[in-house]
Amino acid sequence: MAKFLGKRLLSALVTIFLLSIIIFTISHMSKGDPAQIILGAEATEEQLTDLRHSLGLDRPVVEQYINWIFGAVRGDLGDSYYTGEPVLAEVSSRLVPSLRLAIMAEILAVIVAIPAGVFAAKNKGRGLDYILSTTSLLGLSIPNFLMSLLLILVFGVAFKALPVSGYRTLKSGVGVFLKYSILPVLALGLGQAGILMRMTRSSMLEVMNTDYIKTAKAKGAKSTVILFKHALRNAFIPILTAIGQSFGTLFAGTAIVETIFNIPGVGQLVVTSITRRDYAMIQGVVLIISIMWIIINLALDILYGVVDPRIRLAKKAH
Amino acid sequence: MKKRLISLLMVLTLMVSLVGCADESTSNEGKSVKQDVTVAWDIEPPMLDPTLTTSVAARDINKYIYEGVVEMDANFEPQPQLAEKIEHNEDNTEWTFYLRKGVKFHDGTEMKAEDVAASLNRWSGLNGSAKLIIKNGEKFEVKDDYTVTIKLDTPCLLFLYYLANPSQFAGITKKSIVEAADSSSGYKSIIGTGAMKFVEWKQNEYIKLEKFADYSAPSAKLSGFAGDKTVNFNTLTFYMVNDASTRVAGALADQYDFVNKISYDSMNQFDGVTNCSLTQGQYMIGGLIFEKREGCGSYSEDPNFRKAVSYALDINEIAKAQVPNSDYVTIDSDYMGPFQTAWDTNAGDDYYNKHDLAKAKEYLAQSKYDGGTVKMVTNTEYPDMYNGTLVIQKQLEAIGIKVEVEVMDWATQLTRINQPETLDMFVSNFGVSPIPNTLLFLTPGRTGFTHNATISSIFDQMGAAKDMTTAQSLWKEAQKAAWEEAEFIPLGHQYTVVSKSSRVENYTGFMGLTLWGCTVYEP
Repeated sequence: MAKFLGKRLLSALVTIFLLSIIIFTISHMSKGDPAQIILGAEATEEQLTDLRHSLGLDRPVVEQYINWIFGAVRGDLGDSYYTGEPVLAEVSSRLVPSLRLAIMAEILAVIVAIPAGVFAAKNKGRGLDYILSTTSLLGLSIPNFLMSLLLILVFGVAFKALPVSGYRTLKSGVGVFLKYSILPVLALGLGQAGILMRMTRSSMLEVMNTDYIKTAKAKGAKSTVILFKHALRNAFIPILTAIGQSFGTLFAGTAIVETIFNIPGVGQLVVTSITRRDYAMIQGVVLIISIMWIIINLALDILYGVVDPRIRLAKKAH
Repeated sequence: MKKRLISLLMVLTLMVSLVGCADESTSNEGKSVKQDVTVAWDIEPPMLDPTLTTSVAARDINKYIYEGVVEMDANFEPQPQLAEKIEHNEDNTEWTFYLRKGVKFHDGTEMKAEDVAASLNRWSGLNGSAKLIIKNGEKFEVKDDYTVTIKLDTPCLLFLYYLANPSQFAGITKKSIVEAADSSSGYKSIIGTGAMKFVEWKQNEYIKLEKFADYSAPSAKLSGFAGDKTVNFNTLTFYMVNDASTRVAGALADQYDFVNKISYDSMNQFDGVTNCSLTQGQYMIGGLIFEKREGCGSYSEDPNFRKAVSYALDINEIAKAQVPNSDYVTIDSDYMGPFQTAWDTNAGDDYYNKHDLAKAKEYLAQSKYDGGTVKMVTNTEYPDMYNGTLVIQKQLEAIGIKVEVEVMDWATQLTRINQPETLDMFVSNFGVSPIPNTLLFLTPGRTGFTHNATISSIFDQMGAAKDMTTAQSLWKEAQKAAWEEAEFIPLGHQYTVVSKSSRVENYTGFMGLTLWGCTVYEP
């Protein structure tokens, strides 16, 4: 087990190292001068030179990389060129709104999609099935940005029921927090609900044709019991996998929704940092997110090994 | 499917415009005054240091926090603000500023001459325009607690105009803050003498200001950036709303009291709306800039080529593509703003907006143009620049010039502009300039790349002029010289669009959202 763990850890470290080179190279390959963005289009060349020097942008790229990576190893990702704030602190504070939005959207998607998928499967080929399937298709066909604009126009502008943009924490009160969360969560969650609903429906249909469901029916079990106790439980494994995968998609999709609804999350941070050519921030955000994914995958690898010894043994045999 | 969705969105937009605002009342009678005023802001400023950055987004927030010794009035004439009186000698080389007593900084300490001298010396070391007149490191000196002096090596009649320039402006802060500032992040503490003090900045969320109870206003009434800037509310919060469509929705939904930068193509969504109205915001002069740095090898180096381009252009068509609503653009050959009546001249009228294709072809034949590809760059962040560029491309092709337009983002364009070998011309905008001498596109070494000896010499004479009448007539000569060589083609004096709620009264906005003196009522 220790050898297995060691191998996995070593491979994760090599991946992170290679990733750091790729991230650094790509951000520095993009054209654009952070000093010009900070000082404005009308700044003099002398001012720009001073600022580039002050930010260390006039040093050789290799030296910049070495400074950055050694800092990162010590947990210091540097300061944002644009705001002057430490990158790590800024990214950490931005993770909360993004995760909150993604989790709420996922919960909404699950609450809407699973019952809808079950009922669509139960009523296969009937009106309800068509309505639910068409609605889900619509949900997954409408891109996030369009869904966001539609929701803003209807609930924000026409009915003035909900704010069109902004972010409030729970400190502002649950009511205010929810008021500001509803539209972005709907914009992000409805599309995901469409995908999950279709997955639930097809998975349920597969299970509904199995012998044990037929037996349960023959025994006279109630249809709700058959649906939710027998069928859904067995159909749930692929649905669960889809939920897990969709969370990653949701997290990535927050960039557009955060920008439109003006939510200070990681997605918005990436978008604004790119337009500002804030290399320090771009590198920091991408590195942190990548490390997060590597850690999750590493944990999964280890868990697979723990749960299923055959994986470890298979590796050993090789 | 997508087409249907877009159609549905358009129908909804129309419904929203009518339904959302139909029952709103425009009367504010009986309503209580709103104390927490909100603004949807388009771009987060890089810093709140008025002297370091040239960012307009920063300038328009800084104007609430900081004040200058002099400020521009509504006629773009400098007026004393923190100064009580200003004296100068006959040849305009020695200037004395007598400061108002009892003016307090936001931390409660009194503003003294040492603070003013320190702030102004920093300004003269950083501001590109200031360096045109303070060339040899002359310093502002403290004479006593309330008097600051400076002795210039070169006479400068227009010295106060430079000092009151709103771009990268000479805002006054404490001496200790100036001394602690660095060239990357600017001031470490945000403290001025303005009507509002800084409270909080949550990156990418908002900047919050609060009414400064001890604000010491000058006796003059508010005019432009000058005079009594007292505010009629307690807090002012600038929410950073980067997305243009969200800002429009925020205005229509009455979520914000003011919304900055409504895109020109969204203006029709405000037709029939009663809960808010559109008005002019920041001023800028749009123009075609020729890359003509010496030895850059561009076609634009050749005056005959530039004249060919100038005669080929139909400015009306270009301006319409850039700013579809004529209330927000003025077509005029003058390089100075239409409101700067002191500098008004028609020296360029004989050359401007002729759309004379025969003459254009004549000049083209005399030029070094060899049928090669003329390169233009533009960006997608500023649709006015993008649209203008495409129309120019079409119009130049009509006289046989091949034009290649490269589209990029604004940050990349800023870098490309500094690579003269990669382009021939581009469309851009410039903010207001207090005097002709600070017009970037006529200043050697700055964007516009003009190195015209006649213009430089006239500008020197303007500085040494004894009176404004002489300076103004010299400007006419300078502008004529610029037009004769087609140094810069104005594409329209443009204003950005801002939305203000119908709950706002006495709004007099100047060069952007200036909310001093206005009153906002609760819904």
